[in-house]
Amino acid sequence: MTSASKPCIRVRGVSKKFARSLKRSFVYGGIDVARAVVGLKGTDRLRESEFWALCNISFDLMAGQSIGIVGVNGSGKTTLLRIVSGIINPTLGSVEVHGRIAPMIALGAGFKPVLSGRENVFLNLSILGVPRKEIPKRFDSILDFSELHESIDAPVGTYSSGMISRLGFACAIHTDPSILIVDEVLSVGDAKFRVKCRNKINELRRKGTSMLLVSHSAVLIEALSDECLYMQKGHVIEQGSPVKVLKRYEEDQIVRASAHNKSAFEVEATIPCKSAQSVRSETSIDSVKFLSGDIDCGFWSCGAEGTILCRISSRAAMSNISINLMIFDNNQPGAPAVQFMSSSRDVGGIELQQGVSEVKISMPHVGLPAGMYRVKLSVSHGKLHDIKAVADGLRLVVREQGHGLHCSFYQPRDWIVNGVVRPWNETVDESESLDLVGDA
Amino acid sequence: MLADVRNTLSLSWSLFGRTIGAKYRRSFLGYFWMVAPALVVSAGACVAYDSGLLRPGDTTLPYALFVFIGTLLWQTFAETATLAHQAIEGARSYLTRVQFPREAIILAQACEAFFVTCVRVFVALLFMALTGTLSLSSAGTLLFCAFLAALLGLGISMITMPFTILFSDLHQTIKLILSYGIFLTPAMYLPAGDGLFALVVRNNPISPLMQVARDVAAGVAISTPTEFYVVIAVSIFVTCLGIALVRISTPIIVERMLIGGR
Repeated sequence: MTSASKPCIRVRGVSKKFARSLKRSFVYGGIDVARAVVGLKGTDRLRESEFWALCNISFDLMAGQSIGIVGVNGSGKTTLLRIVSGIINPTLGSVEVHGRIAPMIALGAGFKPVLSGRENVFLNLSILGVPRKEIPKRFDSILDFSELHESIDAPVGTYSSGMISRLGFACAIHTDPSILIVDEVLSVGDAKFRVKCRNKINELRRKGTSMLLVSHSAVLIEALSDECLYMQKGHVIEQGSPVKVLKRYEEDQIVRASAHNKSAFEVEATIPCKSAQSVRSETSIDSVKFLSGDIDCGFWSCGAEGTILCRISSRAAMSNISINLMIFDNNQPGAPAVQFMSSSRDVGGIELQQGVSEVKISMPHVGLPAGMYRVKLSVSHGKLHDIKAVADGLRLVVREQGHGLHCSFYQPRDWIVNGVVRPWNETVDESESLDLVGDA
Repeated sequence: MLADVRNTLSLSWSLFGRTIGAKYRRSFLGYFWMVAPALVVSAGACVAYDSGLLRPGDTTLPYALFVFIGTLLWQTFAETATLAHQAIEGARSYLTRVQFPREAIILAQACEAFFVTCVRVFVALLFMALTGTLSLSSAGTLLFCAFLAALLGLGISMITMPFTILFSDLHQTIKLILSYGIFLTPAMYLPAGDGLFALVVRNNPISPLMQVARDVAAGVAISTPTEFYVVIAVSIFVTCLGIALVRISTPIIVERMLIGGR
């Protein structure tokens, strides 16, 4: 996007400490209030059970620019956004903001359920700093954007979560913001709403609105950001162009996912839990590996060959076994599986011999777009699918190779160019056409 | 600074307007609940008085009016003494997600408390009219005393709010004191003798307000003018101190609301 000379957000040496112990955090809160009353500021000394949630963060968001922030959960992204939004103060350092911020941290979270949608719009816009006289002028536009014409006078308590998000988003963008602070809200609501939000954000960006964006989606960050920060344990460990930063983020994700999957099975093996033992009395899943083709790299690439290699132990020979695979988007907790496949449906019942068997699920083309996924693998028996063993919470990273960019899924395809089917000014026999075949 | 004050006032007025209408929306009796507690306590005290269980001393007013003025002022004070805590707790979802003039939430709740106080005073004025004690001075004094009781409660609530939000033990203790504190005031009886109980009742900060409102209603000279002026000064002082403390402490409180989920 465009870059101008004037920063609208200037963050300098921002650090923030929190206490791990709940009770201590309240005691420290009381002490901090007393210190603030006598004019004492925060120190860099950590008290018992305290840790640095953010450590010496500095960056400038220029007018019209967009900065994406990536990092795993607990890396300090949301804390940073809260400090920039002015919700909490930094322990050390300073934040300068020039312009009106539209914080999209939890859409519609402050709505009062007993009030109608109309009343909540007036209340919400007042809180977001819109002058009272201006609110009626913007109301119709908010109503059109949220598409809640029929239910605007009903209590918000009767709204679905999607309707609340729509109304919250509509309110936030109608505050004439010069800075958007977006924390994962582009991944809530239905697909139609997400597209609408995305287009509206693009429209604001074209008008010169700056944006600070937090998302787990590397694709979204790459598409919407001019610069990227990669945060880990409260530190910015990489800052620069989205392509460069996201590459490192993705590599780290693969390492973490592989370590997580490995440790998941080590824990299973070393901790004899009652429920696990009962499930594993006949059958158990000993290991699961994600291969790219035949290479044991721990990740898949969108559009390329992907393989799952799992080892299943069985105390006795069993027939009519089904191996079921469910893949969930890790960024949308609670959402249904994006992929479900079952061996019983694909190839019929499987027979397992006594001992450790190896099962390979091979996919010629990975259709999943780039991102982080949760994989659940189960072994079931019979027509009613009695569960014999489950491996849940496995992490799978899918990398982008260019084939699935800007797509919801990868569609395997062949491009066929039928050459010159009729030479210029000349009639030829069509059966002699030349076939050029390309494979994506 | 001036723009800050203007924004705060404008927002608090919007919040007040939107919430007062919704407050009793789920209730069939609606605004009756603003005066119901004072009426019920007064009625109970009158029954006890008629049956000889309660000996309030030499009240210069009809007992029903005497006790209604007392319970009205106490109730106003007791409700506003936890007002800031309730306002901050009730606005948790806003506070932890948006930056805005946070004092506006307390101010909006204070506007609501003053509105409720006015309704209660209006009912008291009806009582006064029925008992023939209504005059411009008695009405004005009662309204002023009720306003002072609310201001004193508001100031105390703002000073204690940062600590009651952080330490629920303190909040529970204050709630307990306020639940039974009416018995330590001259709301239903006048203190007799020089014992510890009488000393506490006389030196209760609400006592001079009750005394002055009753004296003016009865048309007699104000018996506790010095104490009354002290209460006025203290009310203004604690309110100013409370506003400063709220401004300083709110970011720290919000931070703890986020991490503690309280």
